[in-house]
Amino acid sequence: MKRFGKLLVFILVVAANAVILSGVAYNRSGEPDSAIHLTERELSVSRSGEENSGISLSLRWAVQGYWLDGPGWFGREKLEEIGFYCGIPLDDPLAGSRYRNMLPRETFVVLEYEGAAWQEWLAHEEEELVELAAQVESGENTRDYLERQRKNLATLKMTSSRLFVVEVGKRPDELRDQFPDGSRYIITAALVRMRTIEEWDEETDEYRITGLRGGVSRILAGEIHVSRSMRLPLDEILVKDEETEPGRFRRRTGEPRFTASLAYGKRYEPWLTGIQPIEKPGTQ
Amino acid sequence: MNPEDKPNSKSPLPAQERADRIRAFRDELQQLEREHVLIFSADQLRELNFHHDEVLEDIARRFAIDTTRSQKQMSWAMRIASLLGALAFSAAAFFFFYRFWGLLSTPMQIGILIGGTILALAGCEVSARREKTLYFATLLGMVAFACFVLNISVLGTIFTIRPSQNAFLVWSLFALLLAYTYGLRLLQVAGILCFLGYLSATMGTWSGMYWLSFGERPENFLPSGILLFLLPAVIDHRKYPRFPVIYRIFGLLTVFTAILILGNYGSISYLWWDPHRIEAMYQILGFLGSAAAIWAGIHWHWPAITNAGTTFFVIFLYTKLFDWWWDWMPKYLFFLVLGGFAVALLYGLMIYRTRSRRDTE
Repeated sequence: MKRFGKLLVFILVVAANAVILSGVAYNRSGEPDSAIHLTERELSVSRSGEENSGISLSLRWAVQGYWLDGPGWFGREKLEEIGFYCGIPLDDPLAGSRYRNMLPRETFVVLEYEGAAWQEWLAHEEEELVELAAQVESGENTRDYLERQRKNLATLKMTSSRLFVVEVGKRPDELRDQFPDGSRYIITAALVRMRTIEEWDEETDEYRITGLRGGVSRILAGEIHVSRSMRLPLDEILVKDEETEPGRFRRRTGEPRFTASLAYGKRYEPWLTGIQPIEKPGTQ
Repeated sequence: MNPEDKPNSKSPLPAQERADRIRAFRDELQQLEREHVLIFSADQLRELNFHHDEVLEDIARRFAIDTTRSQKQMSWAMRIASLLGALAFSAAAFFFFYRFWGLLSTPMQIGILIGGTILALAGCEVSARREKTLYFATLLGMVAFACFVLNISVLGTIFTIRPSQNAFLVWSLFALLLAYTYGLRLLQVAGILCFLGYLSATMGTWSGMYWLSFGERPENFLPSGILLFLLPAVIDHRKYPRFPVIYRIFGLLTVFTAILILGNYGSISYLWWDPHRIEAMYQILGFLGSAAAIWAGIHWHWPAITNAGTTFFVIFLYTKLFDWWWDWMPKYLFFLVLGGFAVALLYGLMIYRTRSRRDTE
């Protein structure tokens, strides 16, 4: 063992690295599945501090219809389609403990960029403002609050991500057939959870499950490392940020300052193909 | 010295046992002399001491073992120092890389990651050749392991690869290969932990869950724990006599910890029964399993297994008593009853010991 062990451990180190790097080469070979241009709104710059000199971009996204009360498009049927067991009747005594403890699953999601889901969200926010204005008229709310909400929405329109999860599925190729435009739709792996819709039951004095809905917990390859050759525009932004607002947690309130080109390959894993500073704010 | 007197294994364990026996024999001989029970003539004593000195010198030359009590104490201190050193150097390698990696090109990053592992491996080999005690080899072996963990995980970060449990299999293989190549138990423990992670996560994925959630279903750990416990019975470890006990202990700890959790939180089980029924089933399993471990430890002379079995039996018992009585019993009475159970357990084990002594006689 002693003689072979040394050789085997050396082979293991080389083989493990070779397997990983060939997987990366395979992912990046040929035409990318998706090539998309995003901005700082969808990709926030993160740096861990002095002890970590690396920079990464975190994908920012939301789920279509998250503002609705009901399950929306991601309901029971879709949950069953991606493998969640929903066979226990909601009034079964075991339903609570089983559905609440259901573990997350890895599946594929479609991220839509600046599409119908984003427009829906904007319309919903505008509608809320209209409702709020009516409340102010009837004296149910204050004008100050309305103004604050208007300013908030104006900021969100400039800063919030336009990437929305619009579909989930087990088969990425089928999802691509459904959403063929690779410059607007990203297909990637994500972690999906089952959530329960519950309401308080006065009779039993406890929460009762009235429905099931899906939720996306995490995009699995959502933290994209920035290599040294591409980090210059981001370094300049980080330096400026540090000068104007020192500290790690700052809220973006202005126009996006860079665009980044992302490609997704055969394994639906992303890589950066370029980062460009935005010279004229307001153009993106 | 007659060649038959030499500890004939290549392993240091029989040699250490022989040295311990000689030391105990010398102590007992002195006592017998003081009590005037057995007194050797000066010649006999000189010959005996000469023979034992020769044996001790020989095994000390061939193996890194402790021939005196103070050496044994020093060994423990050195083991602890080597463990702490390994942890500190591993942390240093980790933080050093993260401090500067952003300034390096991707090929340079990959080169450093692979080179760091190979360099630490070379250091482990050199120190294993130079030093029989293997303290430095353990230290550098652990650093090599940390570098390899860093290597694989950082490659995943650089290329935005979806994380998977397969990394644990590769780390486990690496640690176990080093452990068996140089006889390093600390690396064996690292390998066992990674293997546990891999197997439990893989089992979890069979039910469709995301691999990182494997800890949320403790049943995932049961097959891997049982497999670890049984491993020394299947694979011959004569050349590594100190390894089986570590497999058994980690196997037992894994199984009993999973049972303990399930005995208290039935709702996180895979079984779709009433959670109270699941808890009751695992509590019974816990009592039977720990009793079986005590028996197995006594039967096959595995003291560590007996101790682990007894500890878990007491924990299972105490958690059950806590469930039953904590809320309605005055606290002084609860602890009094607990003490009573400890005495009863002690009494039971004493009876068992007396009986087994009688059987031996």
